[in-house]
Amino acid sequence: MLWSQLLVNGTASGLVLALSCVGFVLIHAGGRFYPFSFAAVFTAGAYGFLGSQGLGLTLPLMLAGLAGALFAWGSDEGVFRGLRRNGASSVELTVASIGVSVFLQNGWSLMFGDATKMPMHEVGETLAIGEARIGQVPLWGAVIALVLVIMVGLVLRWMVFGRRIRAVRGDRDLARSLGFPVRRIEVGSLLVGGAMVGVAGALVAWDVGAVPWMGQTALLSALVAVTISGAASSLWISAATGFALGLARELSIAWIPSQWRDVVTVAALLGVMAWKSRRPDWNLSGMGNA
Amino acid sequence: MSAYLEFLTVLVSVWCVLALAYDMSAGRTGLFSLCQGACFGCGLYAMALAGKWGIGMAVVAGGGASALLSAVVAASSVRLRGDDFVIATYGLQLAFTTLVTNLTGLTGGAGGHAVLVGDSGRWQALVLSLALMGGVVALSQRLWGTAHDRLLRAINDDETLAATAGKPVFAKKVEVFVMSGVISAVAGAVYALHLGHVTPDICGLNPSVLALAMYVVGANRVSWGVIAGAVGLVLLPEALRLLELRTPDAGNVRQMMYGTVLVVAILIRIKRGQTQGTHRIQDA
Repeated sequence: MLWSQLLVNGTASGLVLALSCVGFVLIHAGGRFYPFSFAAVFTAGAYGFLGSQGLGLTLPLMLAGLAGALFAWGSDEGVFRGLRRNGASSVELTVASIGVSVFLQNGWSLMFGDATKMPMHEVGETLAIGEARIGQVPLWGAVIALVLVIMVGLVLRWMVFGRRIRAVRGDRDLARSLGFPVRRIEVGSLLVGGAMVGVAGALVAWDVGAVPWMGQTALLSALVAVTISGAASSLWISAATGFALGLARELSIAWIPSQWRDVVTVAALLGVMAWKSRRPDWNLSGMGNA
Repeated sequence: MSAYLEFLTVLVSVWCVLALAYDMSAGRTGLFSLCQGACFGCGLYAMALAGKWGIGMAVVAGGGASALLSAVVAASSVRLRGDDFVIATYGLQLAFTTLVTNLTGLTGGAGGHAVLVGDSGRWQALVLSLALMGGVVALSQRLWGTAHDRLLRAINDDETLAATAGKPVFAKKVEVFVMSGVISAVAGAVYALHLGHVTPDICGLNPSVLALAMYVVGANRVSWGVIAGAVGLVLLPEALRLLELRTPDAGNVRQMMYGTVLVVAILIRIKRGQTQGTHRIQDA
């Protein structure tokens, strides 16, 4: 009973984390550095969703996606692009994104308070999956996340816009010399990535509510995912890593108290970094077609 | 001396020490760390837990714990370049915060732990913080221009070239990172002595970001610039008292101010050509 329940919970939260990891990879591709401001974009989606409750489900989710897209693109256009124009290094951009993240997250705290803002939905009937049970909200959240991950994956694989994003992520200079509108493609990547992150934040808020610092867990997982998959390519590996981390966090409850769950993600991050310090160019994307 | 002036003196001294410690690792060797708060926290909790056996014992315990932590971080991550190192230290900072928040039996959890050193603790903190700041400033000035300093700058400018020339790059980076961690822990121990009560918030991600901001604001490779950055960023929020904001709001506004300062300072540094990191990202 315990294991099947943890497996169901882990699958649901893993799929939402997978969606946020996919968004992070796209924002990373658009900005070309590790955007710590991702956590604030995630929270923007959550508050965007909670602020528009009562308008059904689709419209608030779209508004959350819009909030995420605007914050991802806006912070790049307003802050990071200026730094890149002046020749900032990836470290300086990462440090600046920490500044943006601190600013925005404290802004959320100032606007909405530190208390958990709860969603306004009734606890519906739970569904039985074998011996385990799952509520309607996490179930629908997982389905929406899965559909979006597959959709983004297919767009990137088969559509011209997606192929261009992959081309720019792979070799920006080559894409430019081939005549691709590189900046437009990067803006597209930021908007799509930001929208995915915003929706992921909304799905978490729909289930458990929102607090200003809720993006940190998603950020940790996304950092692990990008480090493992390699910045230049695989979306599927990033999504799989996000899913695996979400699952591992829930399954760890069988051995450790739930407040220690973050340790699982942190341990994964430190493990990957220790491995990478021995093999700086290592990533899973280099091991197969992404 | 009024309590407020005493508080400001200790605060400025402690943050100057933290900023100079950060300058040792980031400014001279290019190791941008986000776990400065964890090293600071080793000192804070060492004073809270071991202060009853004497201040000297607590300082040694804090310094030792931070040396161990820094050595582990450095040995496992110091080979990482640029932003990878930032991410590894970010993970470690979160691990430390989780640890001190959840080891409730030892640290008191989110509620914190009292520092039991008697009534003389605050005066001792005042004297020690000033002495520590003087010592660290002197050390920083003494190291300036030495063979050790030149080697660190060479590593910062071109690590591969320094390694090719047979210089002990890895050992030097570990040494500097551990030294920076130990100094931060001693500052933490002195600060705990002044506060009388320590909580996980004091040694979370925010102090790491603040130390980073102080370093970035200070002029590159000049210790006095880093000190000016620290003094400015400690005193700037004091101006918020004039606005009479609610305490939680003032905290948020202060952090927003630090975030803004961090971004603006980086932009100014880049425009002045005081850049850090070799992997440049240029927009056409």
